[in-house]
Amino acid sequence: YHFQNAIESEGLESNLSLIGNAYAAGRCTLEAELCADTGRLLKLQKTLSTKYNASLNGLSVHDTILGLLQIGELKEAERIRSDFKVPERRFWWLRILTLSEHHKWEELEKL
Amino acid sequence: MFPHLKGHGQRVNLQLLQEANCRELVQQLERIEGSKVIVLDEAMIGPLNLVTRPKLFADRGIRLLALKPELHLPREVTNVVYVVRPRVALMDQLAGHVKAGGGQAGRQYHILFAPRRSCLCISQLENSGVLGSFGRIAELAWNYLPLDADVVTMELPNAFRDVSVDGDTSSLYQAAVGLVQLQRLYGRIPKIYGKGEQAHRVWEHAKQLGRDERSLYNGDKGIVDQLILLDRSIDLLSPLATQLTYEGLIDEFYGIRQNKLMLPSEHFPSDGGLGGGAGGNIGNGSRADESQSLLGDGEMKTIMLHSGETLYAELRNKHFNEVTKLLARKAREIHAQMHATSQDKSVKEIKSFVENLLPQLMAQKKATSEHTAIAGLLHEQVNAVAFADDLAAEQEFMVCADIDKPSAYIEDQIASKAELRGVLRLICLQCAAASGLKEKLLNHYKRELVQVYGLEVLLTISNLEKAGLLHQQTESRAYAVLRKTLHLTVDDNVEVEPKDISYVHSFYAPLTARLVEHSLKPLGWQSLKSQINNLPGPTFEDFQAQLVGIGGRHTGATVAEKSLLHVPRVVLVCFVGGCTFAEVAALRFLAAQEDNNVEFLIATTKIINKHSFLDSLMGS
Repeated sequence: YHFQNAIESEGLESNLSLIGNAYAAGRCTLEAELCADTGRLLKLQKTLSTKYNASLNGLSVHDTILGLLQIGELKEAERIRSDFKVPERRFWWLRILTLSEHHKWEELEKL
Repeated sequence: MFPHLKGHGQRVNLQLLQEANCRELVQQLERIEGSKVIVLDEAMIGPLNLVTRPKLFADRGIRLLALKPELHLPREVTNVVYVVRPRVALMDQLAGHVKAGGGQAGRQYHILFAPRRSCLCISQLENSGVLGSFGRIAELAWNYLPLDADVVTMELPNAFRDVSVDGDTSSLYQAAVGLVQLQRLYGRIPKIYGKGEQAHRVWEHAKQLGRDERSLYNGDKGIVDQLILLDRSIDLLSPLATQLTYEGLIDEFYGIRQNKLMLPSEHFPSDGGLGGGAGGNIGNGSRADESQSLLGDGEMKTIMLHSGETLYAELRNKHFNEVTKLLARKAREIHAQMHATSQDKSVKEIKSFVENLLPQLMAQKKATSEHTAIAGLLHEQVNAVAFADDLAAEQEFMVCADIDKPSAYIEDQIASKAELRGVLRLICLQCAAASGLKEKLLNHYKRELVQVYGLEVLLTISNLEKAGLLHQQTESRAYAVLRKTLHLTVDDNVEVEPKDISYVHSFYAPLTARLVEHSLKPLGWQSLKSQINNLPGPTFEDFQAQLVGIGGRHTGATVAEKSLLHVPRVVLVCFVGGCTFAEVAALRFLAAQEDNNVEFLIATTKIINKHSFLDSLMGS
């Protein structure tokens, strides 16, 4: 059931559901789930990109949150975090990193 | 031709192998008449350097070129000889050359496939309609190439991946052909032990090939007493572990390619007229120079690293912490010797000193300063915080601490988006040490990886899964059990003047080397058999006795064997799928122990390290 690899190398958005089905057929539930997640993420990225005039398309979950934090959209970032079950631990990593990058030390202290 | 291949008192003389390989090439070339130019596949430059010297070609007026898509062949040559690995992708380049140079009258093209021709390649040429232009299509049966006095390699970096991920078993067949070839040169090997699926297949192939060559086995027992075939898949922890020997560290940070190390020359004190940039490595300088120009790298300094360099031979297998001390002592010794002369009054003594000792001392001094520079570079890297953290995480897995939980260190590495290769290495290490990850944990890692590095990671992960580096937990905890029974981790580790092979990874002894060590004991293999049952793949043994019917000689043979008792046994250890310098060092350490009375010849598909091993698996 490894034929999903061949499809995946195309790496296109439209193929995602196909790949997801292939994984599901191959009884890789986790992989299928991740594919579905990615599909959702891509849609979300499109709306966000237009809304905030930033290019988030094609990024991973992690990078999307990072991008959102960098433009200061904490609420959206929080939403993605809960949507995609990002562990707290990593989310805080990101928050601390971005805040220190922007030298917002007071806010960092508040956390 | 290569003095370093003949080690001191080594019973197996690998120069024979080198000469055989070289002769084969020369014979092939001589069958082609007229002036020639050789075009080399990039993957063949290294192997060629192991077997020949540029002088060989210079003497015959042959020019060497590296294979590139757009290549300008000199006009006046009548023969173009391609020396290539049988890879289909290369054939298109060849076809391109032929078409571009088609106008040249009387030009002939030839191909030497190393080590075997492939039908795919030939039909690819046929499809592009250029097969007719090729005069000779022959094979260059280079299987094992001598790397050092006790190491032969096939220089197939992807052997493990080919078999386990892509299902291409041709490298196993090649290894078998190579084993037969070695027996042809060095005589029949009477005892064979082995472990692992791939290793078993190599031996099955070799047996079959041997049957076609009965004469091979009629003769007396050869120099090699024993063959141990070990599969990479039985021990996936060792190639991923950080090597802590001098040679292993150099390889991991800078990469040693065919005994050559390339470093930016700015790190070294200038050689001051001593044969320009790359010169100075006594006897090898010129060779390094020429191969350098072939690669077109002027900024780099090439340093030869093999047992021919006395200092390096001493340092290479030592734990890195010991190396610095050794170097300091060496420097003092040289200093003392240099200045001892100023007190000597007699002119005669000074004269003999200047004539005999001084050049030696100068060479020693140079080598010492070179290695001090390298050690200094390594020292910087090793002392970096990241290195220590990585190592600490790795060593925790080795002692099976918190092995079923997600590692906080790995999570942090993922969160800070560290290099994917390093993260995967640690996960694979944890998997190897725990003999598989719990389903929940594996899924947790997968999710983390995909969320941070993107969906493409799944492809890489599926490669690793196919190769057996990542898998769900099985019932038997092979590593945890073996760690106890075979003492894979040692508590009171000594890095300086060690007593046990575990020093190569500070306290972890590579399983493969441990297996070899145990098999040396009387009845060792028999007692091992039950212990390694829960490793993947079959355990097998075989004997190649003299054929019955030649009889009567049997008694004579045993007498001869008895009289040889005090002579060290020679054991050929064959790593199917590559081995690391740390494993080589461990085996050398065993051989140096008096009571083992053994000598190793190591055969591998390629010398690997934690980076190159994962890289070969990660690529698509």
